[in-house]
Amino acid sequence: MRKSRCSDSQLVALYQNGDEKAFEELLGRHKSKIYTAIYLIVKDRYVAEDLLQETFIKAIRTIQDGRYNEEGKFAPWIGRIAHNLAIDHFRKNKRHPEIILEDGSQIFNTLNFADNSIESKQLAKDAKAKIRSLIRELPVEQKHVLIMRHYLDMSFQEIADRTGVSINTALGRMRYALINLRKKMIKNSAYDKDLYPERFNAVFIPRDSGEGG
Amino acid sequence: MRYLYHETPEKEAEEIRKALLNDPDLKRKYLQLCEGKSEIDQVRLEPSSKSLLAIMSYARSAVKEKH
Repeated sequence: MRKSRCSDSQLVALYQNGDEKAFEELLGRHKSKIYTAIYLIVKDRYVAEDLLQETFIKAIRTIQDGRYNEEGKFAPWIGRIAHNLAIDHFRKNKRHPEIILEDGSQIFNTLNFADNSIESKQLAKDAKAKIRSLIRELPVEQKHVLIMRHYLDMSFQEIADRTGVSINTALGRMRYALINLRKKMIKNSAYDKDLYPERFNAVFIPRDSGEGG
Repeated sequence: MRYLYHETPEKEAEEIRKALLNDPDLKRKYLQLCEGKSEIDQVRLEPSSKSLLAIMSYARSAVKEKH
């Protein structure tokens, strides 16, 4: 059977039975998203590389020990592993004081990253780097909903559960993340006019009226 | 937002599709969010081959250990 046609669950089962190529396919499918998510959280390529390895090694151990639960999907499952490791990294380092958010959520208290780092200023060599940089400038709650939904494949319900907020708050944060990102793109002229038509920059963006966090 | 991320049940998704067809303002706002989403989807970083080789090496050794 061609590995590229297998579902993630099938690949996990094949790897459990000793098929290394099945795991190689799984790694190929998920490495970029997981790595991007970790990098956007920890903002250090070396740490992100380490955490990526740790994430997949944990997954390997769980699968080979027969502890992988097929009830969930592979992508959000490995996303949760990566997310937990990234959070643990910051908790261990305690780079920033804990801050209780207005809504009482605590999960990202220690994730108030140094957004204006020298490294972030070195980014922006191309449009993607600019967008990446703009994601990092988003309010921390919005940024993390975005990372969890986009790169770690968690559902909004799961994001709500993990961050201790209602699903409507999680949805609102994602919505504001997208709106704010577009605002920032337009403000920073992140769009390359060769790639994006003029009308794209002229789209009306509704003003924030509710929760911006 | 859940529709944008394919999290709505089919019946609800069908209702949203109809609403989008009949409400130009709703459609415009939806397309704005779609565009933002697709921009984010383009942001992908690649880990080093060294990391990938290390992971695969571990994956192979775990199989050998078990089988």
